[in-house]
Amino acid sequence: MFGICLRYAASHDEAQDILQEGFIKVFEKLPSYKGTGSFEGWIRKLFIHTAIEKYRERIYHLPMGEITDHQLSLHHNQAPDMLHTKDILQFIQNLPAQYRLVFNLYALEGYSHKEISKALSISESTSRSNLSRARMLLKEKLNKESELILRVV
Amino acid sequence: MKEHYIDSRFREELAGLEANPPVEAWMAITDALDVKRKKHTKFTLFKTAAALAFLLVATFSFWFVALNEQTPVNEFQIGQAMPVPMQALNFDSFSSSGTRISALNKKQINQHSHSLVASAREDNEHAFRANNTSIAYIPTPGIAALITHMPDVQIPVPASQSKSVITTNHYNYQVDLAASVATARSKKSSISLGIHMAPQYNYRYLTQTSQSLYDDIPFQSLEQQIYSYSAGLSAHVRLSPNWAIQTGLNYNNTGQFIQGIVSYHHPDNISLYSDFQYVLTSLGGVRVHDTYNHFEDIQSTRILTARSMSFNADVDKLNKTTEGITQTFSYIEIPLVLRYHIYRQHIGLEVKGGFSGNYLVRKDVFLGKNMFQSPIGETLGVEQFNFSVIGGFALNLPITSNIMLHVEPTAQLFLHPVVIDGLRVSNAVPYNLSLHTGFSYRF
Repeated sequence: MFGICLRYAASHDEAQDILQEGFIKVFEKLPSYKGTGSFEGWIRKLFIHTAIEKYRERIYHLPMGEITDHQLSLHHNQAPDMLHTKDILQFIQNLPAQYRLVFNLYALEGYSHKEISKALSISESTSRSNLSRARMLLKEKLNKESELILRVV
Repeated sequence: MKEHYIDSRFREELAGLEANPPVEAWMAITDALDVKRKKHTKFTLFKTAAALAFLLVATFSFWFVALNEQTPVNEFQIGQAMPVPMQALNFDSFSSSGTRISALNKKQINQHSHSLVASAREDNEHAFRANNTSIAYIPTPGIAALITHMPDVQIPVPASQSKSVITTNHYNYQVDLAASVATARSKKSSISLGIHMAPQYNYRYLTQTSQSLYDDIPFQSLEQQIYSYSAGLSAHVRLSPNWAIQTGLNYNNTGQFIQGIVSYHHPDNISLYSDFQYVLTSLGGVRVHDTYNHFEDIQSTRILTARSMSFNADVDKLNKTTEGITQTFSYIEIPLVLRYHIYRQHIGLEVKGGFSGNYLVRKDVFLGKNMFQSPIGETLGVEQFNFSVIGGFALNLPITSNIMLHVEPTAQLFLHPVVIDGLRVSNAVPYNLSLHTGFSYRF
């Protein structure tokens, strides 16, 4: 579950916060689990919901501006074949929160835009736009890193 | 639809992402759960203490009532056949022509026991007692009365009858008295005034959303009941031994709790807005006039106004203060209720039903569930005048001869939605369940 928290968080500390609140929710809501679906899926949903709540709490701390190179810095001292999970995770973590949340929900969890718009109280078009901006930023960064890796090689 | 390659690339890369949280994370979780458990224990202790207190009060009340019942003289014994030592009578004392006299001293009376005596007392006071059950005296010339240990019961008996009935057929006379006690009591207690207070459960039921615009807002799951109170004065007029009518003046609080609205506040108490914010509820639109709180709806789209924050610097300092708001409606009510006695021994049980005219005096909205803070806003477009129906039961326990304790489980249903048509988003009809507890004094 900590992996899920890391994907939704901007930092390790924030992921810990989500983990803590998520587990407290699990213990509190355990009696309401009816055993109809998978237990893991139920817990996963609780953690995602916690991450969404966390996003809402921090909504005013988050700039809507363009992403910067600083925000998407990578470990440049790595070998070319070291573009691994950790780096991919960091790309996601460095996305602006509203993009990260929509990308996580849509691309990684399989939510529809309708479901996302309901969960986040945003319009479907905002959800689509956030997703496409998240993709664009990730694509740019991937391309940039590929060029960098090729040059190093 | 073909999947975007960025999506699949990232999903594949992160599919095997596993990470172990640091040890301190588990410790923090354990600590947080401990705190919650302690809070739960405290709440359980509070509930247990409240239950014990209630039991103590209830036990004491019943004990007190039972003690009163055990006094040597009991009005309900009047109707029973009792051997009376007729030779103890001194009927000469009934030939009174005096003026009105005061009631006999109870202590003196109770010193007599198991005898039927009639005696002339000072100030033309004439009395008799029979088998420790009843006392008669002559308050006005030519009229005999019977009083029992219940000081509120005085039964006038025509002087022409008293002598003959008492002397010739004491048994029948007592049977008649038993019937007369109820009549006498009902005559005496025709008017009483009372005061009551009621803890109250308030909610509303929703029939349907009247505007499709709001169909997607699940009001039912986003709103909760609240607990409040009502208090007031009442006047009862007994129309017959079984029927009474009640009116009075009540102050009544009803409303609901709106969940999923999070409030943010600047720690330096800086005003965040220059305009208003609106929160849509099933009981109308709430206008938040407090500009120090910024609200976010975390579960739907109930915050309608697209306002801009006037304070932008240090915005990261904003603190989440509380969740939810409480919407209240305070009414001054004039009820008109009919009450019918369905059981009457020492303790009485009545059913009651009627209606109430309600005048709205406040429509405040509060942060969180604390209704003792300053209001942060008010509900718009609420009917100023409303009617409601009332029904319930009343348990009446005599504490003294004049004071009665009332415990009345009561339901109140507003007859039409509180919000006027122009601003109504759903057909929400408030109701409340309360336990009126109070005292009344019989004149």
